[in-house]
Parts: sequence; structure tokens; C-alpha cells
Amino acid sequence: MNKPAPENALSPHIPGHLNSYPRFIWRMMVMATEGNWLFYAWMIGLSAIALVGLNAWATQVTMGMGVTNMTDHVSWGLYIANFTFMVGLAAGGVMMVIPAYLYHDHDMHDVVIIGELLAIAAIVMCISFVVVDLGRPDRFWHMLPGIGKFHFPVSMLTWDVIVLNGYLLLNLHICGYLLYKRYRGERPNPKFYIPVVFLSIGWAISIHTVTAFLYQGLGGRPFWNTALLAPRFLTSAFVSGPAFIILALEAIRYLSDYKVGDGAIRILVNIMRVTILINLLMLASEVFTEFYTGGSHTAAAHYLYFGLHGHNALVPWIWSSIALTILAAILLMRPNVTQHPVMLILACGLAFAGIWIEKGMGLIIPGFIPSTLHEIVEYTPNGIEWRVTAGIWAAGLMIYTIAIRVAMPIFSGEVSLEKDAEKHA
Amino acid sequence: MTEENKSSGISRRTVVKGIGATLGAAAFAKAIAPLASWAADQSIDEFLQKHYTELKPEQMQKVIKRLEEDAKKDYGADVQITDTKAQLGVKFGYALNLSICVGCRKCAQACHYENNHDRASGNSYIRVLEMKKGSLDIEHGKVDYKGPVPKSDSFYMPVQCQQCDNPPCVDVCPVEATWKEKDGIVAVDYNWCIGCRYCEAACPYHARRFNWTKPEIPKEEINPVQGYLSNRIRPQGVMEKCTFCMHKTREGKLPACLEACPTGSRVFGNLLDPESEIRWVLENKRVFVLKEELGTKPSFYYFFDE
Amino acid sequence: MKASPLIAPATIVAVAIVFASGWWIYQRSFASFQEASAPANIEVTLDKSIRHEVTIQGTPATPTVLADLSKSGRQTEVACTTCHTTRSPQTDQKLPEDLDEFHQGLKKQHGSLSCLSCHNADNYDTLRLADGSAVSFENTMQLCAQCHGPQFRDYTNGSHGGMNGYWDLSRGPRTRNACNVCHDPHAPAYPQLIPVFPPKDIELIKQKQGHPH
Ligand code: SF4
Ligand code: SF4
Repeated sequence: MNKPAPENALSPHIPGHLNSYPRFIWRMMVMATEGNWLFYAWMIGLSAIALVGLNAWATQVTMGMGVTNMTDHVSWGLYIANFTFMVGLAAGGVMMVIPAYLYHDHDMHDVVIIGELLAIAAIVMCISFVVVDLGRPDRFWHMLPGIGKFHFPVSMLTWDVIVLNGYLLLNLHICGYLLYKRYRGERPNPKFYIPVVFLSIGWAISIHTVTAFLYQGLGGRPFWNTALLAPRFLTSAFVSGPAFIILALEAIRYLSDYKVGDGAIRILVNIMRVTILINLLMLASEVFTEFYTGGSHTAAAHYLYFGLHGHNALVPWIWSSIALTILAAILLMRPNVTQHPVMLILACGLAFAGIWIEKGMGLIIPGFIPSTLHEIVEYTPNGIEWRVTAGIWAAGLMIYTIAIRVAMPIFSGEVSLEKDAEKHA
Repeated sequence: MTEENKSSGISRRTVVKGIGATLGAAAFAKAIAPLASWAADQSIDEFLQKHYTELKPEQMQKVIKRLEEDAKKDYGADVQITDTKAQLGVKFGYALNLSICVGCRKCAQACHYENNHDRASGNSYIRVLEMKKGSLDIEHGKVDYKGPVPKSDSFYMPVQCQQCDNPPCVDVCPVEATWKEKDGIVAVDYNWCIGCRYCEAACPYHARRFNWTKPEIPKEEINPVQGYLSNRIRPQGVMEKCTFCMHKTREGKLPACLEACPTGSRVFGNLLDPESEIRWVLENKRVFVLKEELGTKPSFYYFFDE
Repeated sequence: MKASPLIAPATIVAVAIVFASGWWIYQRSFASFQEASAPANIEVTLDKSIRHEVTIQGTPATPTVLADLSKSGRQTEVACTTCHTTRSPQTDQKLPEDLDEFHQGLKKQHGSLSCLSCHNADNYDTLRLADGSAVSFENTMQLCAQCHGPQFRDYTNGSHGGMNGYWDLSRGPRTRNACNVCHDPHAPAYPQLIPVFPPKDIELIKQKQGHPH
């Protein structure tokens, strides 16, 4: 205690930050491009899909958004649907953080980074989905505060820009800091990340709330103009986020040698058990209000659940979503679900798909049908939109795979500055 | 891996990675190739152009000159673009007499030609609803009605931008590309809009239109009298909307839809002038606005004769 | 945990920030609407000294009818008075259909009016107001206004009848249609017509997306 320990006291090999940080970055880049044949096959497959998506987007920019199936009636489609869902996923990713830091749960501590990395990948996808939805991506700079015109605080979209980017930075900081410290073989200094972790928990709620407010605040769209929208966003996010993380953990478990504690999965399943039920309850409450009251404000809900005047493109979507969610809920309720990986994976996959439909096609599209003048113009995404969407998903999965590929060895201590230095010596 | 590194300097893996990276870069270039032709069409002046409210008069002159040249280049048409400012003491209002509108859609047609709309999509800022007598709920409206009109059990309600005093479309725009002018018109800077279409989602009256493609208009059909904030030919990927024919009305003229109306259902004028026709209507007819409960405060009124 | 002495000032600062940002948001988002919705206090600076003309177009000239005067089978345009000065009006015949010689094919669907409700039996080149005084065809609108007071009132105040030109008469003239441009005096109900310019987009969307209906 009386002898002040210098930074590199742990090991004589450990150099200063100026030296070790570039090495850390370089090491991560090297690791990102290395792996077994499965890794390569996976990455090459994803790159191919991403490039197809990129090409579709380039066509869309050149020829105009008219190459999509969006219209003046349904002016947002698959892109914004996916954006909405991804915001939820990003928020849900941080769910792991709460038990880990709030309750000092040990099993969670090591896998927390998986949630944070998911948040990063999801936010990157969110931003991509917004960019591909722009008619003039070249004018993106108009939104930058200072040189452009940032319509803050009146436009909810500016809030969303702030919270999404802020969230990205927060998570980048947390992940980067923790990894770097591990790489150097030092204990992370709680002062530098614990406050940020708490901030990011609050922030996770804000990104989803603000995104819900985007829609919720539009008086002209009764389907969205309900106070239940933001809470429902949150609960569904806390279903899809943990579901995806469980899937990722199971993948790590089976495809690599890293140990994933059962404790973490058990906690996540417990979270999902509660949130999936709350989500279903809110769904019931919404459906009740719409259909018991009746009137023309419920036309969109009618269209969504039963079809309107012979138009029913969304009916199969929403009923499959409800069926998937209920099925997932039943599976998750089984007390021994954590002991049956197949059942667990199935339940998480079903819940994930169910929420994807519900927060995407089931939420964004019916907001536009019928239109504000009560015209019914239907919408189904076309090839270009599916390709761009698949491209962004592929890119997001690439980011996530690389992130985990890099983070796991560092976190488990397999790769560290000390070992690297020894190798070179 | 480390063994290889040590023995050969350049490992087989590195070579494979290099090939992979090269192939990847080539595929990437191929994927974004369509963008090249598009980028060639964009001028740097256009890219760097400032927001409408920040353009100085001489900068505006340059912009207008460039736009006129573009119209010549892209459409072969000689057009004159002006940027007439709002007149002090004028706030535009519009009223529509539902008792005499016959639903002939001549206003919608006039809008199409006046405002240089894309011919293929048959765009117009006006949509005419055929409504059954006995209900004012637009849920019972129909836009693709066929003749002969007027049918004895129906009345007709044209809807266009209501130039709201509390416009949700303006609130939501993230880049202030749309705003309310001093004379009450909600304008769009077609060179500032990023095409996010948030305003289109926010407008409760289906008044906004997006340029899904570059508008196509035969040269001889282009209306050469154009306003910077109104009917000039719009670029691809931006929002547009009814401006009450700003290029005409700011010169004191009546809007095109009113002039096309054979019945005189349309009343246009200055809300601030107590002697104007529009004020007479507001004071002597029982007017209503659409979706009043939303608090958008339209400057567009409807009324029936008693 | 011991309560830090900083808690109190921190709370005050936090509350102050909340209120300040609330006020700022209010100012930026809502205050401006109130200004916009209360335009009455903006001073009107329109120049009312010049007033361009409002021309009423389409008022009928003194009419003529086609008649086969020489019984040769050739019809010529003749003034009303050509015949009506030589023949006395048949006051018992209320409808053109009742006539067997002249005005064949003319249909009257105008309430219970008869010919002489509007036509002046004393001088067929003019019309007759309800009080018996004559009025020229150019001033038909006076005649219409006798019964259609509300429409005439609306017309005078600019809310009935098509027009062209300037809303701002200090900057240019305006042309207006007379009643008879749209309303045939003998059958004034506005005729049914086939609407133009049906919305194309719905059809196009259906084609593009391949929806069956
Ligand atoms: S009608 Fe729509 S576009 Fe026009 S001002 Fe109101 S909200 Fe904006
Ligand atoms: S589409 Fe254009 S005008 Fe509309 S909200 Fe987006 S940037 Fe603003």
C-alpha cells in the first residue's frame, strides 16, 4: 500500500499505452481474419450476401426508391420495420448487464460482453437501415449539428439520432475498455466503466422509448398513437434481446471451446419468461381496446388481424407472429427448458421470429393501412428490399461474429499482451 | 500459425488472405458500380448547397441559374424560376364549398399540369373523395369513383395540403427541410430534404408526395413559369407537396385548382384582409376543418350551403 | 452509505436543468405555433388604392332563334321580336312541350315557372322581373337573383361560380362566369358529367405488386 504501483508493475514486459494500444488494435484485426474453415465459410457466405445487398442498394440510389414496393400510401416498409426491431435488439442486448452489475452475479460477468457487443452490432444495423431508407443518402450531412440543420429538440428523429449514436459510443467504450484492460492483463478500473455501464442501462431504455415516440407521437396515425407503444416496445425488446443472446451463447458453446456457464442462460430464460408474458398481456390489452370500442380508428387493427374490405396481406404475418410467441412462451414456461438445449434453441428462435414480425411488418405497415384518407393500398416488400435487408443482416452478423471472435480469446485470457510479447521475444 | 510465421516470413495463410482481400475489393467495386453513373450526375455545387434560409440573394441567383440550366439539359425546356418572397400582411386561406363541388376532378388535373408532376404516375396534390351523404367520416370515402357525377346520394370532398398552422410535418423533419412561410404556406426545400419520409408519415391528410423516381415530363408539356419553392421540377428522392401554387398566388394570382374549378366551390384569399372573399366565408358560413381533433389548425376550410 | 453534503446542491441543479430544458423545448416547439395561429395582430399593409376590374363573362346577348320563316325548309336566325310582334302570346300554355308550332324540342325543367315568368310578353328582346319591369338579357343575373338569393349572395361574395385571374385585385383583374355559363336557364340543374383524371397510382401499384384485386 505504501509503495505506489506503477502501471506496468504486473509484468516487466508490459509497455506503455502508446505502444500497447496500437498492438491491441493490430492484434484484434489479425484475429478478426483468422479462424477455422467454418469461420471462413460463414464469413465468406455473409460477405457474399452483404455484397448482393450493397448492389441492390446502389441500384436503388441510382434509379430512385421507386424500385422498391413502397408508395406514397405505405411510405415506410421493410427497412424501417427492421430498424424498429433492431433498436429493440440493441436495447435487449444490454439486459444482460443489469443482473451482472446490479446484482453482482458472477456467471453473468463474463458473458456480459456478449450482450454489449450485440448492442454494437445491432446499432450499426439500425443506422444502416435508416440510411438505406433515405431518398437522398448523399445529403446525410444535412443532419449533422453545426454544419447541417439539426431540428432538435422538436423532431423526434433527431432525438433518435442522438440516443442511437450515444448508445453506440457508450457500448464501444465499455467493450473497448474492458477488452483492452484484459489484454494488458490489468484489472479494469471501475471508475472508468461502471458509471458508463449504468448510464448505458438507462440509455438502452431511452433508445427504445425514443424510437417508439417516433411513431407514437403521430396523431394522424391512430394505430401508432397509443401510450402503450413504448412500454410494449420495451417488453418485446427484452424478449428478442435475451433470445438472441441465448442463441449466440449456444452457438459459442457448440462451435468453440469456451465455457458458457449455465447460470447466465438460466437468468436470461427467467427474464424472457416474465417479459414474454407481459408482452402477450399488453397485446391482449391492445386488441381489447381496438375491437371492443370499434369505430374507424380501429380500421388498421382490423386490417392487420382480419383484413379489411377483402385486403388481407398482413393477416398471415400477424397470426404467425402470435402463434410463434405463444408457442415460445409455452416452451419457456417448462421448468426444465434450460436442460434441453434443443428445446431452448427452438423456444428462442420462435420468440425471436415472432417479435421480428410483430415489431416489423406487424407494427410499421399497418400504421399506413388504411392511409390517412382511408385508402387501402397494400404493401409487400419486393426483391430489392429483401436483398438490401438481407445484406444489412449479413453485415451485422459479420460484425457480431468478428466481435465475438475477437473478444472471447481476450476475455478468457488466451490472448494477452504478455503472451504476445513472449511470442515475439 | 505461429510456426508458419516463424519459418517462412510470409505464410500461406497471409497469401490466401491477400487473395481474399483482392477478390473482396473487386466484388465490392462491382457491387457499387451502379452508383458511379449516379454520382456523375451530381454536381458539387448542388451537394454543397446551403439551406434555403441561409442562401444570400446572389447565391440564390446562382442556384436558380444552375437549376434552369439543368432543366434545359435534362428536359430540353427553357424555364424561368423565381423566388418570390411572402408578402407582409398576407396569410393565405382556402375554403371549399362541399354543396356545389361536383367531383369532376378538374382541380386535380390542373394541379398535375401546373406543378410539373411526373406524367407516368399521374401525380396530383389533390385527391377527391366521393362520400356518401349522411356521413362525414372519410372512412366512407372513395377516390377511384367513376362517372357520371355528381351522384344523387354522394357529395365530393377534394383534399390537399391544409397548410396547417400547427403542422406535424414540419415538427418531425429532422433537418428543417420543410417549414412554415410567413404567408402560411408550408414549403419544402427540394435541395435540402434528405428523403426520410417522416413528414409523409406524420401528415394526417395524405398531402405529401415523394419523388420515387426522377419525374418524367415531355419537353413541350413543361410549365415554364416556376417557383423555387413550388412547381420547379423536383429532383429524385425528395418530398414535395401542395404550395397553394406559390408561384402564382404570391404574384396575386389565383391558384390553378381554383381556376380549373367549373363550379366555383373553391374560395381563395387573404385571411388577414377583412374584406376578402375567404373572410366572408369564414364569417358567414358554418365552416369546419378536417380532423380538427388532431389540433393541426388547418388553413383550409370546408363548408356546406345551408 | 453516508449522505453526502453535495446531495442538496446537486438536486437543485438537476431540478434547474429539468426546468430549463423543459422551457427551452416549449419555446422551440410550441410557442411558435401560438404566434402562427394568432395572425390577427400582424398589420395589413395591402395597397387598396388600386382596384382592378372584375369582368363577368358569358352573359347572354339578346338571343335569336332558328326559324323557317319562308317555309322553304331553310332555317335562319331571327330575333324573338320577328315573330312575337305579329303573334300574341299563348298565356295558357305553360310549357314548351305544349306548343305545337314553335320552340319544338325545347325542354323546361325549372320548377313550376312558365315561359312568361321570365320572358317579357311586352318586349321579347328583354326579360321581365317579378315586379313587371323589363331587364335586358345582359343583366339576366338580376332575374336569377330574384329567386336564388342565397346563390346570388354567395356569388357576389366570391363563393359561388368559377373565376380566373387575380385574388389580389390591387395587382390584376379577375374574370367571373355568369350564372348561365353553368346553368341552362330552361333546365338549370348542373348537368352530370364524367369525371376526368382518375387517380392512376392505385392501378399502377396493383400492377407492380401483382395484387389480384
Ligand atoms: S396538410 Fe399535411 S403536409 Fe400540409 S401542412 Fe398539414 S401536415 Fe403538413
Ligand atoms: S422527407 Fe424531407 S422534408 Fe420530409 S421529414 Fe424527411 S427530410 Fe424533412
